[in-house]
Amino acid sequence: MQADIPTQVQAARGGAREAWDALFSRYQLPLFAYVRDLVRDREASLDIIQEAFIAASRHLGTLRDDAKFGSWLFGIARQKCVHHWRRTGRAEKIFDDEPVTDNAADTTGAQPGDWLIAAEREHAFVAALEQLPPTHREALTLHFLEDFPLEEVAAITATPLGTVKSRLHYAKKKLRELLENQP
Amino acid sequence: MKTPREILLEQQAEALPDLDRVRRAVVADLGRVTMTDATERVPPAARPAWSPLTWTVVAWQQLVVPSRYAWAGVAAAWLCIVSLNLALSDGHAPALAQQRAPDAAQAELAREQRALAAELLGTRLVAQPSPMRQDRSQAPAFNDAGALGWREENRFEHFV
Repeated sequence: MQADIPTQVQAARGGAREAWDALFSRYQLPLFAYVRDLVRDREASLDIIQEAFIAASRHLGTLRDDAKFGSWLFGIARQKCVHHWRRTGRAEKIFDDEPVTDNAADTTGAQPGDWLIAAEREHAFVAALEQLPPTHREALTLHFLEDFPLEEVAAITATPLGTVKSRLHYAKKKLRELLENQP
Repeated sequence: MKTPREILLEQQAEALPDLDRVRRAVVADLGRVTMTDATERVPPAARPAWSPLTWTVVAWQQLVVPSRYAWAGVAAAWLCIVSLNLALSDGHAPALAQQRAPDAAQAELAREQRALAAELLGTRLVAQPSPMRQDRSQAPAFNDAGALGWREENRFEHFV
């Protein structure tokens, strides 16, 4: 039986390689999906994942709550993405695309599991997701991939909590509209 | 029916072998974690070969691109300074630069004046030789009684 995350993090603190392997194995694919969505480059994403794993192994001592290892690791990867944007001059472009929205909170209450997509609608779903503004898509991707609490999404994206709530609200609303309007 | 998570992960599943390789490399390296840069851990085969072109591109991306607005500002400031300097100048060269080099006649005149001055100076030296250059035997004797007396007293005291 697979140990839970805090137990694995405790073992990793003790230097257990198996624990590190299990933790990285657990998060590698969602982390890659998130990073690739941000940087839009497969090889750069693999480099960022590698750097994030190394940074996590070096700085595990700074993690205060073992249960938040996932969001902590995503936060590290996002910082690496920001460095990548700065190197390639994409940072301003990403954040300039932020649409003006009010601070409406997400009142839909829909959980990631509530979104069930039929097999024939998968492409439509992916296409609709692509049409969202990058910042909204990022919040929604984190919500879909790991169902992080809003506070953790705010910490990962280094964004105020109200902004995250608003982004998630508008992202879900827009995604539903796009899915309904598609044939 | 699939959840969005399943769809998103399935989309990236082709990268799993590469992710496994990266993970195994990092885990294998955990025992000898040093403070080296993460980029040094990339296998050499994965790194681009060094060349002046790659060096220039890397330097451009890492030095110029991140601060391109600052560089643009510095360039604009320099352009302003140069244009102001050009606008405020009267278009003439400095006075010294405008002077023509002395021609042969002027040079000859200056040479004659120098020779005359040297001759005059030499004459004055002969007529009034400097006291510093006099021989000791030709120096004026001490005729001042007071000064001589003082010297004699001092000499006397010295030998007593």
